[in-house]
Amino acid sequence: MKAKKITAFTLIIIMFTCAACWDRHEVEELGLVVAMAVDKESGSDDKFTMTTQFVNPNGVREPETGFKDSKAYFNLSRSGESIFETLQDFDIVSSRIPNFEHLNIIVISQEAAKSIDVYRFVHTLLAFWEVPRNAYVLISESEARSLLSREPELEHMPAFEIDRMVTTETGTSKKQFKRSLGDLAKDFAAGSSVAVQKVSFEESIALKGAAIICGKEYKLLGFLDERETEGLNWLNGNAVLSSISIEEKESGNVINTTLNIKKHKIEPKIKDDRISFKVSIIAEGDITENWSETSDVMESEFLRGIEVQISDEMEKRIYDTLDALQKKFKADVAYFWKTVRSTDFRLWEEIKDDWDDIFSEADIEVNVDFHIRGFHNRTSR
Amino acid sequence: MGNHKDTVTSRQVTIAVFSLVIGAGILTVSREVVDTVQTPDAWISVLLAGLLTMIAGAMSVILCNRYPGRTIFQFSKEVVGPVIGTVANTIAILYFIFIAGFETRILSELVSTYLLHRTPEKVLMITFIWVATYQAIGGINPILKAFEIYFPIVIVLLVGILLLSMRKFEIINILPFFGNGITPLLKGVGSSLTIYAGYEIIFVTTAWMEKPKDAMKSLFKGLILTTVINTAVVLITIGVMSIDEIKNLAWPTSSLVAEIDLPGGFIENYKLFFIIIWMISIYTTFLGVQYLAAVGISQTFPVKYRNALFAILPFIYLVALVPHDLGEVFIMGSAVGYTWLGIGLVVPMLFLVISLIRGNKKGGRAKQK
Amino acid sequence: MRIGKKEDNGQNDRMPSMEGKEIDSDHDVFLKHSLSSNIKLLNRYVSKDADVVFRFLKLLDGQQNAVLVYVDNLADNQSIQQHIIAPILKEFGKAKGVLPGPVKIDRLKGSVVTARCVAETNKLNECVLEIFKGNTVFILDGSNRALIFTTPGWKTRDQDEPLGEPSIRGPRDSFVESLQENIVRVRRRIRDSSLTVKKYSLGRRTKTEVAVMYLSGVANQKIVDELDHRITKIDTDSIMASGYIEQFIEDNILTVFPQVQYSERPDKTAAAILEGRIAILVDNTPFVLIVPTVFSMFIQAPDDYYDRWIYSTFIRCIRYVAILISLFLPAFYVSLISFHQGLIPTRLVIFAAATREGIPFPALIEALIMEVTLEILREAGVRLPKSIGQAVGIVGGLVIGEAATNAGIVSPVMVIIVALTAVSSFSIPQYSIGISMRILRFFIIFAAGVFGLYGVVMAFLMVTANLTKLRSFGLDYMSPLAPFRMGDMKDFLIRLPMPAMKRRPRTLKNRDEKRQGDED
Repeated sequence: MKAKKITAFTLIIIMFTCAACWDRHEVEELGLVVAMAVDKESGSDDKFTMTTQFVNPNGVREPETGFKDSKAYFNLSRSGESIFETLQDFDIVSSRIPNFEHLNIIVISQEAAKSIDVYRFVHTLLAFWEVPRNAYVLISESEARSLLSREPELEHMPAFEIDRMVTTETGTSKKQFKRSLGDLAKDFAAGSSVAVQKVSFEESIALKGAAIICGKEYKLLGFLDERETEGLNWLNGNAVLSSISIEEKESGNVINTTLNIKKHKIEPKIKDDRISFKVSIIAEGDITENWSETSDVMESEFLRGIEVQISDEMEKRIYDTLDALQKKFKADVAYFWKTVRSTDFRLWEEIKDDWDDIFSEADIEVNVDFHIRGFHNRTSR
Repeated sequence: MGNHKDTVTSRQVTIAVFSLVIGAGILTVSREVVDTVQTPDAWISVLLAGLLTMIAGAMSVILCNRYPGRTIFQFSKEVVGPVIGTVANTIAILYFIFIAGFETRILSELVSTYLLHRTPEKVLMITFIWVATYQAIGGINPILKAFEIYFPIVIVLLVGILLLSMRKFEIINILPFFGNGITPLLKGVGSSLTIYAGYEIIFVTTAWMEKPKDAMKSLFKGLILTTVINTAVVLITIGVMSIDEIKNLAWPTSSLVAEIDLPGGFIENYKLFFIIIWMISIYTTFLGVQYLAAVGISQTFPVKYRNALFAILPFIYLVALVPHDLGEVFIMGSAVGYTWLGIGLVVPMLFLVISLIRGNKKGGRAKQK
Repeated sequence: MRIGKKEDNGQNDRMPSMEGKEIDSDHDVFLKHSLSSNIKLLNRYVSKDADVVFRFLKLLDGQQNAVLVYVDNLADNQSIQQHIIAPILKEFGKAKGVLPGPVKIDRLKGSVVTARCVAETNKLNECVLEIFKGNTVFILDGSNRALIFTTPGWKTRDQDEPLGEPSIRGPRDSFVESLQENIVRVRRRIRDSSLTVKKYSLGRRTKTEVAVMYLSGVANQKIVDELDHRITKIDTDSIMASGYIEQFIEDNILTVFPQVQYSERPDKTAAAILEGRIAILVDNTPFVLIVPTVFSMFIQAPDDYYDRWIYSTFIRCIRYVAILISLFLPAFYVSLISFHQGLIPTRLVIFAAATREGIPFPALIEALIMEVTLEILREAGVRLPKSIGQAVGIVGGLVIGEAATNAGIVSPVMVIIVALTAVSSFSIPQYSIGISMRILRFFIIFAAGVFGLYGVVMAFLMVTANLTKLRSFGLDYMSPLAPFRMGDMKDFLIRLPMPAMKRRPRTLKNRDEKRQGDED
């Protein structure tokens, strides 16, 4: 027994000392990639350019002086036909091992999204490059690479800036709800179309509107403008702390209230061969701005009038959105299909391949019920 | 050694059942059952499989209580005669070695994928086996005590992670119930049953319990807990990931953890905790079956427990090396499952029936080694 | 330390053939009736010792001779003079008239001598033993029986506050080097007749007195017997300190974990005895051993019971966290930084990368360097005089850490981690466990450096394997955690209020479990 113990022990010791620590990479040897941009290679049909943003840790923080005298990031670009190969190429041009485990932001340009199979792209990243599932995907109106090059005002690098903008839950429904790689994978696996945040560059980076990616070929179909995105957000119940302005019917004055969606429900109605939907939304808000001279916000009649107006306005905007989704894009990005599947599974299995067409023909009735709750601190004016 | 200096407490049996059953299965069960059932209510199959296991377990306890103080290896000869008894024991021993090898392989695949990409798998396997052997040398009591120590860690982390994932849980993903009828669910029971393998530990521990009357209660507590956890895992995975995506995931539970996204981003990556969970779970399962194999040999053949323990090591290792790639590993997993249906479910029931027919009922405790 | 052969430096003016002759306890040597023969016999054993005093007494005006033999200063000179010599001489110095015969031993014993504790023997070897114990031997011409007076007279130090185990709210007395005084300190706290004191004499040459104290009727008799068995099995030259005994009686030599607890505090010892455990007191050591001991007892401090339960529970939880930190923190840092950067938040990775830029060593080496340096500093701090030692430990650590950081040899994060780890290990009440932690920590760091997180988990599993296999006098080392005993959990992680602690720990399998409630 003693002999066996000793042999075992010695073997283990030998193994430890012979160990080459195969997997050790020190943290300072890493090339951390925090953002990625995909553009279409100009002049070429098949090739696309990938730009990666590496972090320079010393630029982020100099322990001694506290100043950053070097830039916090640098970008590298490679082109190629295969995503995998292009990404591997980064090994050639960088002195550090590219590490995608902290990839935060992926921006795909409009042109690229129209030609590449986004699902394949998402799948490759998730399967082989250890990209975290909560990396956010955006579609950019112009060149994606330029978004990563702009020196940000407040943050250390463009990737962080964009990340902040995406993750902060702000008070507007004009930007589409954030979608991560994982979300995209889930939806694409089911063949669903997806609405993704759209990013554009005016004076600064702006996240407004939505990009529609079709669930069949996984390519970009087009964009929703701000109003339409609002409607979509309301449809999905993704509107927390947003607001709405209307022109008051009688006086034409602008009234603005906050908007919280309390309940949203999409009910499918399946009769014979026709599918129709009934959308019910209950929303609440407080009056924030009242430009009207005469009316008093405490007056209940006035309030009721506003409520009806706002409800109508919301319904109108949602109908506009549905118009765009059904007629223009024929893409169900509001997950109407999920409600069908959850009601009648067998039916869904039959029709799911034709869903886009069926969806575009479906009758959708929208009903919004808006209630004014209060008016914050001040009553009139 | 291999015998018991102290007795086994009821609590230890509960925890042992839980520790053995929760192993590699919890990582892949979502995909396997969804692949078979194809509907969002696949979790019901998992629940049913658990209930079935409880029935089988109950029968096993009744069987064991008819031969108090003796493990199944010892009384199998009394039930079916010495020849068939020895054959049955040998088959069981081989089965346990098979599971042990499988668990080793799964562990090295997981560690290789998620933690140490370049470390040779053989090194991972050898270290794993040695650590478990070091623990197993001490016999049943240290093993059970170790289970007791690991249990709170595993359960707290597991429940914690499940709760955290609820943020992304969408009820619409698990509807409708019985959308496609009962039939696919029943088919699903077949593929979910495999993850309940491991309760066989009661065949041995019942013999040494402080209060054998509590064996039934302890077994049920352990199996109920396991069923709840398994069902919850599958339910929440489907609710968060939706069935279509699950089919694409090699380790769906791991991807579930990757989906956790809390506002404020305090700890971004909960994978760390999950990795600890499965490493310990697979270890406890391995430890349990390794012990069962060794004790089986020592009680069937005139071999000392310690020697048996060392003797089976190379076999475990060889089994672990058999599958060629990850796909074959999963096939092996199914094979383990189906073997269990035969050995873990059918054989005990057969034994019980035969024992009842024979009217055997020996009281008192036989002498232990 | 063993007493070696005495050097012959030529100054030996005693009988040439006598070198340190050892008392052979197998062969009894009997006293003779003649005083001169007895003295000759005695001299065989003690003539080499210059500090053995032979005080001759002439009784009855020189008619009868007697001799007192003792070791100068080991026996209490004053007591000998006052209580032995004076009464004897007073009574028998002068011949008073016509006496019926020579002086008899019995008379002396019973009526004359006022020293305490008189024993009698007819064996010379026993006399020699007693002389070296500090007692005085009286041999009378004409009698083959010798009297032994108990006269220990060595000085012991004044007791201080126990240095290794200070307490905020507890009593400040501690054990000293005298066995009897130590026994007294325990007796003062347990004034019950069930308190049992058993004495042994261990060590062939040191003949150290060892006392075993427990509550009879409460402590588990099996453990008492086992302890008796183990102690009597000890056969060695010397017992210099209680640590020697610990190493002979512990269950498992090959583990880093101590299975015997020791303490300098009488209150802790008394509390342990009241719990049903057994204390071993060793002469010449202020450290008392307490058996049986399980893991959880190393993390309990007497202060836990002197304060209110909320405070105690809180402090205990902090202690457990501290243990985890002191074991795993450096290993986690090494494994996450060097192997699994994907598992830590992005900002943290960037921060770590920035602070480690330019450091020439990989994280593992860095950690080992810092830890080894700290251990050396700690050891150095122990050797230096108390006033400087503390300063060197702390300041040295900070200064070296600061300098190393500035030189760019280690990263500041590592210094912080190592410091935090060190401080955490100081919060463990029992020093011996602290040492175990320090050794284990190296092992775990190394495992982390080779196998990353997998290594850390495997190391943890190995440590648990070792712990679960350990037993202390038949009790599971990991009680009450494993096997889980609900009843004992009220004193494990938390400490329930006093009225709730009705039973003694069931782990110990005592005979009498009730602490509060009905007395029988």
